[in-house]
Amino acid sequence: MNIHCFFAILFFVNLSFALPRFGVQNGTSCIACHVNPTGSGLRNDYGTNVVALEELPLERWLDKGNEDWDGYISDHLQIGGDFRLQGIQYNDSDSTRKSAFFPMQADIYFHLKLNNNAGIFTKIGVRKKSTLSTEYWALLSNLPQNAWVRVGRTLPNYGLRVDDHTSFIRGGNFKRTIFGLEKEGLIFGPLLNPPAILELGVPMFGGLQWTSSISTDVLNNSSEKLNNLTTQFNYTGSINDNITYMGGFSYMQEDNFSMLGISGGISFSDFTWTFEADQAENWIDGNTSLALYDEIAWEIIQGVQLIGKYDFFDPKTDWQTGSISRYTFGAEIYPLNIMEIKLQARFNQLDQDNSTTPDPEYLIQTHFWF
Amino acid sequence: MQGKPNNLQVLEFDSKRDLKKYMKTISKDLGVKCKFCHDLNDKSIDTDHKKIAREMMRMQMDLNKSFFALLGDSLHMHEEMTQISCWTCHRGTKEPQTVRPKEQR
Repeated sequence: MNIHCFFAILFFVNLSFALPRFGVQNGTSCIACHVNPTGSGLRNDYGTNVVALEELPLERWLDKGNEDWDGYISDHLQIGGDFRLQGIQYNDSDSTRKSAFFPMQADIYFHLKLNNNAGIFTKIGVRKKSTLSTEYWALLSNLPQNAWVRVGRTLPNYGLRVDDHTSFIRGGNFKRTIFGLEKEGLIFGPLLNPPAILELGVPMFGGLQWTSSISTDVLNNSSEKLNNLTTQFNYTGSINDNITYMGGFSYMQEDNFSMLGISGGISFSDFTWTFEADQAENWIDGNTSLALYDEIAWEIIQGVQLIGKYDFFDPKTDWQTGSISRYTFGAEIYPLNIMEIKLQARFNQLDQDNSTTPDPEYLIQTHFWF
Repeated sequence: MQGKPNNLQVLEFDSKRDLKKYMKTISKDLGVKCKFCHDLNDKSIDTDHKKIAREMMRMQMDLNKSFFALLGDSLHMHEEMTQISCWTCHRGTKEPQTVRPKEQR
Protein backbone atom coordinates (compact mmCIF):
# COMPACT_ATOMS: atom_id res chain seq x y z
CA MET A 1 0.00 0.00 0.00
CA ASN A 2 1.50 3.33 -0.93
CA ILE A 3 1.44 6.45 1.14
CA HIS A 4 -1.39 8.00 -0.89
CA CYS A 5 -3.61 5.04 -0.24
CA PHE A 6 -2.83 5.28 3.45
CA PHE A 7 -3.87 8.92 3.41
CA ALA A 8 -7.09 8.10 1.60
CA ILE A 9 -8.01 5.58 4.26
CA LEU A 10 -6.98 7.45 7.36
CA PHE A 11 -7.51 11.02 6.29
CA PHE A 12 -10.66 11.46 8.31
CA VAL A 13 -12.52 9.11 10.58
CA ASN A 14 -16.26 8.82 10.76
CA LEU A 15 -16.62 7.97 14.43
CA SER A 16 -17.07 10.02 17.53
CA PHE A 17 -14.82 9.28 20.46
CA ALA A 18 -15.12 9.34 24.20
CA LEU A 19 -12.98 8.63 27.23
CA PRO A 20 -14.66 5.85 29.24
CA ARG A 21 -11.83 6.20 31.72
CA PHE A 22 -13.40 9.45 32.91
CA GLY A 23 -16.66 7.63 33.50
CA VAL A 24 -14.82 5.05 35.59
CA GLN A 25 -12.98 7.78 37.54
CA ASN A 26 -16.25 9.45 38.43
CA GLY A 27 -18.30 6.28 38.84
CA THR A 28 -20.82 7.54 36.34
CA SER A 29 -22.14 6.80 32.88
CA CYS A 30 -21.32 8.77 29.73
CA ILE A 31 -24.46 10.89 29.90
CA ALA A 32 -22.96 12.86 32.77
CA CYS A 33 -20.62 14.65 30.34
CA HIS A 34 -22.02 14.03 26.85
CA VAL A 35 -25.21 15.04 25.07
CA ASN A 36 -25.29 11.57 23.52
CA PRO A 37 -26.74 9.32 26.26
CA THR A 38 -24.36 6.53 25.24
CA GLY A 39 -21.33 8.80 25.09
CA SER A 40 -18.93 10.40 22.61
CA GLY A 41 -18.92 13.65 20.70
CA LEU A 42 -20.60 16.82 21.91
CA ARG A 43 -20.17 17.49 25.60
CA ASN A 44 -23.07 18.83 27.63
CA ASP A 45 -22.84 21.96 29.76
CA TYR A 46 -21.41 19.94 32.67
CA GLY A 47 -18.79 18.28 30.44
CA THR A 48 -17.79 21.60 28.91
CA ASN A 49 -18.19 24.00 31.77
CA VAL A 50 -17.14 21.88 34.74
CA VAL A 51 -15.05 18.83 33.75
CA ALA A 52 -13.21 20.28 30.74
CA LEU A 53 -12.90 23.71 32.33
CA GLU A 54 -11.84 22.82 35.86
CA GLU A 55 -11.01 19.13 36.33
CA LEU A 56 -9.04 18.38 33.18
CA PRO A 57 -6.48 21.10 32.39
CA LEU A 58 -3.15 21.83 34.01
CA GLU A 59 -3.80 23.84 37.15
CA ARG A 60 -1.39 26.58 36.15
CA TRP A 61 -3.56 27.44 33.12
CA LEU A 62 -6.96 26.87 34.69
CA ASP A 63 -7.75 30.57 34.53
CA LYS A 64 -7.29 30.61 30.73
CA GLY A 65 -10.71 29.05 30.27
CA ASN A 66 -13.88 31.02 29.73
CA GLU A 67 -16.28 30.34 32.56
CA ASP A 68 -19.22 31.70 30.58
CA TRP A 69 -18.84 29.27 27.67
CA ASP A 70 -20.99 26.15 27.89
CA GLY A 71 -21.76 25.71 24.21
CA TYR A 72 -25.16 27.43 24.26
CA ILE A 73 -25.39 30.19 21.66
CA SER A 74 -29.07 30.73 22.37
CA ASP A 75 -31.54 29.45 24.94
CA HIS A 76 -32.15 26.36 22.86
CA LEU A 77 -29.17 25.79 20.58
CA GLN A 78 -25.88 24.30 21.72
CA ILE A 79 -22.91 23.89 19.40
CA GLY A 80 -19.58 22.13 19.69
CA GLY A 81 -16.81 20.54 17.70
CA ASP A 82 -13.88 18.13 17.70
CA PHE A 83 -10.74 18.52 15.61
CA ARG A 84 -7.79 16.14 15.59
CA LEU A 85 -4.46 16.30 13.83
CA GLN A 86 -2.21 13.29 13.90
CA GLY A 87 1.37 12.54 13.04
CA ILE A 88 2.56 8.94 12.93
CA GLN A 89 5.73 7.10 12.05
CA TYR A 90 5.15 3.47 11.18
CA ASN A 91 6.27 0.47 9.17
CA ASP A 92 4.29 0.01 5.96
CA SER A 93 3.24 -3.45 4.80
CA ASP A 94 6.42 -3.67 2.71
CA SER A 95 8.43 -2.95 5.90
CA THR A 96 9.57 0.45 4.72
CA ARG A 97 9.50 3.23 7.29
CA LYS A 98 6.86 5.86 6.61
CA SER A 99 5.75 9.08 8.25
CA ALA A 100 2.46 10.82 7.84
CA PHE A 101 0.81 13.91 9.25
CA PHE A 102 -2.86 14.37 8.53
CA PRO A 103 -6.10 15.87 9.80
CA MET A 104 -8.04 13.04 11.37
CA GLN A 105 -11.29 14.50 12.59
CA ALA A 106 -13.23 17.69 11.87
CA ASP A 107 -16.71 17.44 13.33
CA ILE A 108 -19.21 20.18 14.12
CA TYR A 109 -22.19 19.44 16.36
CA PHE A 110 -25.56 21.10 16.71
CA HIS A 111 -27.93 20.23 19.53
CA LEU A 112 -31.34 21.81 19.48
CA LYS A 113 -32.96 21.38 22.86
CA LEU A 114 -36.66 21.74 22.27
CA ASN A 115 -37.60 21.45 25.94
CA ASN A 116 -36.40 19.52 28.99
CA ASN A 117 -37.66 16.27 27.49
CA ALA A 118 -36.75 16.48 23.81
CA GLY A 119 -33.75 17.36 21.68
CA ILE A 120 -32.45 16.98 18.14
CA PHE A 121 -28.77 16.36 17.48
CA THR A 122 -26.78 16.61 14.26
CA LYS A 123 -23.13 15.94 13.59
CA ILE A 124 -21.52 17.08 10.38
CA GLY A 125 -17.99 15.90 9.77
CA VAL A 126 -15.50 15.83 6.96
CA ARG A 127 -14.99 12.36 5.58
CA LYS A 128 -12.08 11.81 3.25
CA LYS A 129 -11.26 14.92 1.23
CA SER A 130 -14.52 16.09 -0.23
CA THR A 131 -17.41 14.20 1.31
CA LEU A 132 -19.28 14.75 4.53
CA SER A 133 -20.25 12.28 7.22
CA THR A 134 -23.37 12.84 9.25
CA GLU A 135 -25.00 11.51 12.34
CA TYR A 136 -28.38 12.70 13.54
CA TRP A 137 -31.00 11.67 16.05
CA ALA A 138 -33.91 12.86 18.08
CA LEU A 139 -34.01 12.06 21.78
CA LEU A 140 -37.04 11.87 24.03
CA SER A 141 -36.03 11.73 27.68
CA ASN A 142 -37.63 11.78 31.12
CA LEU A 143 -40.11 9.11 30.08
CA PRO A 144 -41.60 6.80 32.74
CA GLN A 145 -38.83 5.13 34.79
CA ASN A 146 -36.62 8.04 33.63
CA ALA A 147 -36.18 6.14 30.36
CA TRP A 148 -35.22 7.67 27.01
CA VAL A 149 -35.89 6.78 23.39
CA ARG A 150 -33.79 7.76 20.43
CA VAL A 151 -34.40 7.52 16.69
CA GLY A 152 -32.05 8.53 13.91
CA ARG A 153 -28.66 7.47 12.61
CA THR A 154 -26.00 6.62 15.16
CA LEU A 155 -23.92 3.65 16.25
CA PRO A 156 -25.49 1.05 18.55
CA ASN A 157 -24.24 1.13 22.12
CA TYR A 158 -21.68 -1.67 22.40
CA GLY A 159 -18.72 -1.86 24.76
CA LEU A 160 -16.39 1.05 25.46
CA ARG A 161 -16.28 3.80 22.88
CA VAL A 162 -12.56 4.49 23.40
CA ASP A 163 -10.80 7.38 21.70
CA ASP A 164 -8.57 5.11 19.61
CA HIS A 165 -10.18 3.47 16.58
CA THR A 166 -7.11 1.28 16.11
CA SER A 167 -7.84 -0.59 19.35
CA PHE A 168 -8.70 -4.14 18.39
CA ILE A 169 -12.00 -3.94 20.28
CA ARG A 170 -13.00 -1.19 17.82
CA GLY A 171 -11.67 -1.19 14.24
CA GLY A 172 -8.11 -2.32 14.85
CA ASN A 173 -5.59 -1.96 12.07
CA PHE A 174 -8.43 -1.47 9.62
CA LYS A 175 -7.58 -2.31 5.99
CA ARG A 176 -3.95 -1.53 6.54
CA THR A 177 -3.51 -5.06 7.92
CA ILE A 178 0.03 -4.53 9.08
CA PHE A 179 0.57 -8.22 9.42
CA GLY A 180 -1.38 -9.31 6.39
CA LEU A 181 -4.07 -11.06 8.40
CA GLU A 182 -7.57 -11.18 7.00
CA LYS A 183 -8.80 -8.75 9.66
CA GLU A 184 -6.98 -7.07 12.51
CA GLY A 185 -9.72 -5.78 14.78
CA LEU A 186 -13.48 -5.84 15.25
CA ILE A 187 -16.28 -4.10 13.41
CA PHE A 188 -16.11 -0.48 14.59
CA GLY A 189 -13.76 0.78 11.88
CA PRO A 190 -13.17 4.48 11.33
CA LEU A 191 -15.32 4.73 8.19
CA LEU A 192 -18.33 2.86 9.52
CA ASN A 193 -21.59 4.54 8.57
CA PRO A 194 -24.06 4.95 11.41
CA PRO A 195 -27.14 2.78 10.78
CA ALA A 196 -30.75 3.90 11.12
CA ILE A 197 -31.63 3.07 14.70
CA LEU A 198 -34.36 2.92 17.30
CA GLU A 199 -32.82 2.80 20.76
CA LEU A 200 -34.20 2.59 24.27
CA GLY A 201 -32.35 3.40 27.47
CA VAL A 202 -33.66 2.61 30.94
CA PRO A 203 -31.96 3.47 34.25
CA MET A 204 -33.00 0.42 36.27
CA PHE A 205 -31.90 0.70 39.88
CA GLY A 206 -28.84 2.04 41.64
CA GLY A 207 -26.28 2.72 38.94
CA LEU A 208 -27.56 0.07 36.53
CA GLN A 209 -28.50 1.22 33.04
CA TRP A 210 -29.90 -0.91 30.23
CA THR A 211 -29.82 0.13 26.59
CA SER A 212 -31.20 -1.86 23.69
CA SER A 213 -31.50 -1.02 20.02
CA ILE A 214 -32.73 -2.34 16.73
CA SER A 215 -31.11 -0.91 13.63
CA THR A 216 -30.35 -1.45 9.98
CA ASP A 217 -27.24 -3.44 9.10
CA VAL A 218 -24.04 -2.23 10.69
CA LEU A 219 -21.76 -4.71 8.93
CA ASN A 220 -23.32 -4.41 5.50
CA ASN A 221 -24.00 -0.70 5.14
CA SER A 222 -25.68 -1.03 1.75
CA SER A 223 -28.56 -2.96 3.28
CA GLU A 224 -31.50 -1.14 4.84
CA LYS A 225 -32.89 -4.25 6.51
CA LEU A 226 -33.76 -3.83 10.17
CA ASN A 227 -31.32 -6.50 11.11
CA ASN A 228 -29.09 -5.52 13.99
CA LEU A 229 -29.98 -6.09 17.63
CA THR A 230 -27.66 -4.67 20.26
CA THR A 231 -28.07 -4.57 24.00
CA GLN A 232 -25.93 -3.46 26.90
CA PHE A 233 -26.15 -3.52 30.68
CA ASN A 234 -23.83 -1.11 32.43
CA TYR A 235 -23.36 -0.58 36.15
CA THR A 236 -21.50 2.33 37.74
CA GLY A 237 -20.91 3.03 41.39
CA SER A 238 -18.50 3.84 44.19
CA ILE A 239 -17.27 2.40 47.48
CA ASN A 240 -16.61 4.72 50.42
CA ASP A 241 -16.03 7.73 48.16
CA ASN A 242 -12.55 6.37 47.40
CA ILE A 243 -13.11 3.64 44.83
CA THR A 244 -15.25 4.10 41.76
CA TYR A 245 -16.06 1.44 39.22
CA MET A 246 -17.94 0.51 36.08
CA GLY A 247 -18.94 -2.92 34.80
CA GLY A 248 -20.89 -3.85 31.71
CA PHE A 249 -22.09 -6.60 29.43
CA SER A 250 -22.77 -6.08 25.71
CA TYR A 251 -24.30 -8.24 23.00
CA MET A 252 -24.80 -7.70 19.28
CA GLN A 253 -26.53 -9.95 16.73
CA GLU A 254 -26.75 -9.42 12.97
CA ASP A 255 -27.61 -12.34 10.66
CA ASN A 256 -25.15 -15.09 11.56
CA PHE A 257 -22.70 -12.62 13.11
CA SER A 258 -22.79 -12.22 16.87
CA MET A 259 -20.55 -10.58 19.40
CA LEU A 260 -20.59 -10.48 23.17
CA GLY A 261 -18.30 -8.78 25.59
CA ILE A 262 -17.63 -7.54 29.08
CA SER A 263 -16.18 -4.14 29.84
CA GLY A 264 -15.58 -1.80 32.73
CA GLY A 265 -12.92 -0.55 35.07
CA ILE A 266 -12.01 0.52 38.54
CA SER A 267 -10.42 3.70 39.84
CA PHE A 268 -8.58 4.30 43.09
CA SER A 269 -6.65 7.41 44.02
CA ASP A 270 -4.83 8.55 40.86
CA PHE A 271 -4.96 5.18 39.10
CA THR A 272 -7.64 3.92 36.73
CA TRP A 273 -7.84 0.52 35.07
CA THR A 274 -10.19 0.12 32.10
CA PHE A 275 -10.80 -3.12 30.21
CA GLU A 276 -12.91 -4.85 27.58
CA ALA A 277 -12.99 -8.42 26.29
CA ASP A 278 -15.05 -9.40 23.24
CA GLN A 279 -15.75 -12.65 21.48
CA ALA A 280 -17.15 -12.46 17.93
CA GLU A 281 -18.68 -15.32 15.95
CA ASN A 282 -18.49 -15.25 12.15
CA TRP A 283 -16.72 -11.92 11.97
CA ILE A 284 -14.27 -13.99 9.98
CA ASP A 285 -16.24 -16.74 8.22
CA GLY A 286 -17.03 -19.62 10.52
CA ASN A 287 -14.49 -18.56 13.13
CA THR A 288 -14.49 -17.26 16.65
CA SER A 289 -12.44 -14.07 17.11
CA LEU A 290 -11.22 -12.63 20.39
CA ALA A 291 -10.28 -9.03 21.20
CA LEU A 292 -8.95 -7.65 24.48
CA TYR A 293 -8.27 -4.15 25.73
CA ASP A 294 -6.50 -3.20 28.95
CA GLU A 295 -5.53 0.29 29.97
CA ILE A 296 -3.86 1.63 33.09
CA ALA A 297 -3.85 5.39 33.55
CA TRP A 298 -1.94 7.29 36.22
CA GLU A 299 -2.82 10.94 36.72
CA ILE A 300 0.52 12.21 38.01
CA ILE A 301 -0.81 15.77 38.29
CA GLN A 302 -4.02 17.34 37.09
CA GLY A 303 -3.71 17.63 33.32
CA VAL A 304 -1.09 14.91 32.81
CA GLN A 305 -1.95 11.23 32.59
CA LEU A 306 0.55 8.47 31.90
CA ILE A 307 -1.00 5.63 29.93
CA GLY A 308 -0.06 1.98 29.47
CA LYS A 309 -2.23 -0.18 27.18
CA TYR A 310 -2.36 -3.77 26.07
CA ASP A 311 -4.36 -4.74 22.98
CA PHE A 312 -4.82 -8.30 21.81
CA PHE A 313 -6.60 -9.76 18.80
CA ASP A 314 -6.89 -13.36 17.71
CA PRO A 315 -8.87 -13.58 14.45
CA LYS A 316 -9.27 -17.35 14.71
CA THR A 317 -9.30 -18.52 18.28
CA ASP A 318 -7.57 -21.83 18.11
CA TRP A 319 -5.37 -21.01 21.10
CA GLN A 320 -2.35 -21.70 18.94
CA THR A 321 -0.86 -19.03 16.70
CA GLY A 322 -1.94 -16.09 14.61
CA SER A 323 -2.70 -13.48 17.24
CA ILE A 324 -1.53 -9.88 17.47
CA SER A 325 -0.47 -8.14 20.65
CA ARG A 326 0.20 -4.45 20.94
CA TYR A 327 1.77 -2.67 23.89
CA THR A 328 1.27 1.08 24.05
CA PHE A 329 3.02 3.53 26.33
CA GLY A 330 2.39 7.23 26.34
CA ALA A 331 0.99 10.33 27.92
CA GLU A 332 -2.08 12.46 27.55
CA ILE A 333 -1.58 16.11 28.38
CA TYR A 334 -4.39 18.63 28.76
CA PRO A 335 -2.72 22.04 28.79
CA LEU A 336 -5.98 23.95 28.27
CA ASN A 337 -9.68 23.30 28.63
CA ILE A 338 -9.95 22.97 24.83
CA MET A 339 -6.81 21.01 24.03
CA GLU A 340 -5.30 17.55 24.42
CA ILE A 341 -1.87 16.38 23.30
CA LYS A 342 -1.43 12.64 23.01
CA LEU A 343 2.00 11.01 22.72
CA GLN A 344 2.34 7.27 22.16
CA ALA A 345 4.85 4.58 21.33
CA ARG A 346 3.28 1.32 20.13
CA PHE A 347 5.02 -2.02 20.02
CA ASN A 348 3.36 -4.69 17.88
CA GLN A 349 3.98 -8.40 18.12
CA LEU A 350 2.63 -11.17 15.90
CA ASP A 351 2.42 -14.69 17.25
CA GLN A 352 3.05 -16.50 13.99
CA ASP A 353 5.79 -18.69 12.56
CA ASN A 354 8.51 -16.86 10.63
CA SER A 355 7.12 -13.47 11.57
CA THR A 356 9.38 -10.56 12.40
CA THR A 357 8.64 -7.97 15.03
CA PRO A 358 8.10 -4.62 13.32
CA ASP A 359 9.72 -1.43 14.53
CA PRO A 360 7.64 0.57 17.00
CA GLU A 361 5.09 3.10 15.84
CA TYR A 362 5.32 6.62 17.20
CA LEU A 363 2.29 8.85 17.34
CA ILE A 364 1.52 12.43 18.24
CA GLN A 365 -2.04 13.67 18.17
CA THR A 366 -3.46 17.07 19.01
CA HIS A 367 -7.12 17.33 19.79
CA PHE A 368 -9.07 20.58 20.03
CA TRP A 369 -12.68 20.82 21.07
CA PHE A 370 -15.18 23.36 22.09
CA MET B 1 -31.89 25.32 26.84
CA GLN B 2 -30.43 25.39 30.30
CA GLY B 3 -33.83 25.42 31.96
CA LYS B 4 -34.67 25.74 35.62
CA PRO B 5 -32.83 23.74 38.26
CA ASN B 6 -34.56 20.73 39.79
CA ASN B 7 -35.00 19.86 43.47
CA LEU B 8 -33.75 23.16 44.88
CA GLN B 9 -34.84 23.37 48.53
CA VAL B 10 -32.56 26.01 49.99
CA LEU B 11 -30.97 27.97 47.19
CA GLU B 12 -32.96 30.35 45.05
CA PHE B 13 -31.67 30.40 41.50
CA ASP B 14 -33.77 30.76 38.40
CA SER B 15 -31.15 29.53 35.94
CA LYS B 16 -28.90 26.48 35.91
CA ARG B 17 -26.05 28.67 34.72
CA ASP B 18 -26.15 30.84 37.85
CA LEU B 19 -26.56 27.80 40.06
CA LYS B 20 -23.54 26.14 38.47
CA LYS B 21 -21.39 29.20 39.14
CA TYR B 22 -22.40 29.10 42.79
CA MET B 23 -21.75 25.35 42.98
CA LYS B 24 -18.25 25.90 41.63
CA THR B 25 -17.46 28.29 44.48
CA ILE B 26 -18.60 25.65 46.96
CA SER B 27 -16.45 22.95 45.37
CA LYS B 28 -13.43 25.23 45.55
CA ASP B 29 -14.17 26.27 49.14
CA LEU B 30 -14.29 22.59 50.15
CA GLY B 31 -11.60 21.32 47.76
CA VAL B 32 -13.91 18.66 46.34
CA LYS B 33 -15.30 17.71 42.95
CA CYS B 34 -18.99 17.59 42.09
CA LYS B 35 -19.22 13.84 42.71
CA PHE B 36 -18.53 14.44 46.42
CA CYS B 37 -22.13 15.58 46.84
CA HIS B 38 -23.85 14.68 43.57
CA ASP B 39 -24.88 11.52 41.79
CA LEU B 40 -23.50 12.54 38.40
CA ASN B 41 -26.04 10.41 36.53
CA ASP B 42 -28.74 12.69 37.94
CA LYS B 43 -27.40 15.64 39.87
CA SER B 44 -30.80 16.50 41.33
CA ILE B 45 -30.95 13.27 43.36
CA ASP B 46 -30.43 13.67 47.10
CA THR B 47 -27.32 12.04 48.56
CA ASP B 48 -26.04 11.95 52.14
CA HIS B 49 -23.43 14.63 51.50
CA LYS B 50 -25.97 16.76 49.66
CA LYS B 51 -28.29 16.66 52.65
CA ILE B 52 -25.46 17.78 54.92
CA ALA B 53 -24.55 20.52 52.42
CA ARG B 54 -28.13 21.81 52.58
CA GLU B 55 -27.98 22.10 56.36
CA MET B 56 -24.65 23.91 56.10
CA MET B 57 -26.14 26.35 53.59
CA ARG B 58 -29.11 26.98 55.89
CA MET B 59 -26.73 27.65 58.78
CA GLN B 60 -24.65 30.05 56.68
CA MET B 61 -27.73 31.90 55.43
CA ASP B 62 -29.20 32.15 58.91
CA LEU B 63 -25.98 33.54 60.31
CA ASN B 64 -25.65 36.07 57.52
CA LYS B 65 -29.26 37.15 57.71
CA SER B 66 -29.97 37.02 61.40
CA PHE B 67 -26.66 37.68 63.10
CA PHE B 68 -24.32 39.55 60.77
CA ALA B 69 -27.08 41.64 59.21
CA LEU B 70 -28.35 42.69 62.66
CA LEU B 71 -24.82 43.34 63.81
CA GLY B 72 -24.32 45.49 60.72
CA ASP B 73 -27.48 47.42 61.55
CA SER B 74 -26.43 48.06 65.13
CA LEU B 75 -22.95 49.18 64.07
CA HIS B 76 -24.30 51.19 61.12
CA MET B 77 -22.09 49.14 58.78
CA HIS B 78 -24.81 47.79 56.52
CA GLU B 79 -22.78 47.32 53.35
CA GLU B 80 -19.37 46.68 54.84
CA MET B 81 -20.46 44.07 57.38
CA THR B 82 -18.81 40.67 57.24
CA GLN B 83 -20.63 37.86 55.47
CA ILE B 84 -19.53 34.30 55.96
CA SER B 85 -19.15 31.67 53.26
CA CYS B 86 -18.12 28.02 53.12
CA TRP B 87 -14.51 29.18 52.93
CA THR B 88 -14.79 30.91 56.30
CA CYS B 89 -14.55 27.54 58.04
CA HIS B 90 -13.57 24.98 55.42
CA ARG B 91 -10.53 26.73 53.92
CA GLY B 92 -10.38 24.37 50.97
CA THR B 93 -10.86 21.14 52.94
CA LYS B 94 -13.78 18.76 53.40
CA GLU B 95 -13.67 18.96 57.17
CA PRO B 96 -13.61 22.45 58.76
CA GLN B 97 -10.79 23.01 61.20
CA THR B 98 -12.47 23.41 64.58
CA VAL B 99 -9.29 23.50 66.66
CA ARG B 100 -6.29 25.73 66.12
CA PRO B 101 -3.40 23.81 64.50
CA LYS B 102 -0.66 22.76 66.91
CA GLU B 103 2.07 24.77 65.18
CA GLN B 104 0.12 27.98 65.81
CA ARG B 105 -0.52 27.46 69.52
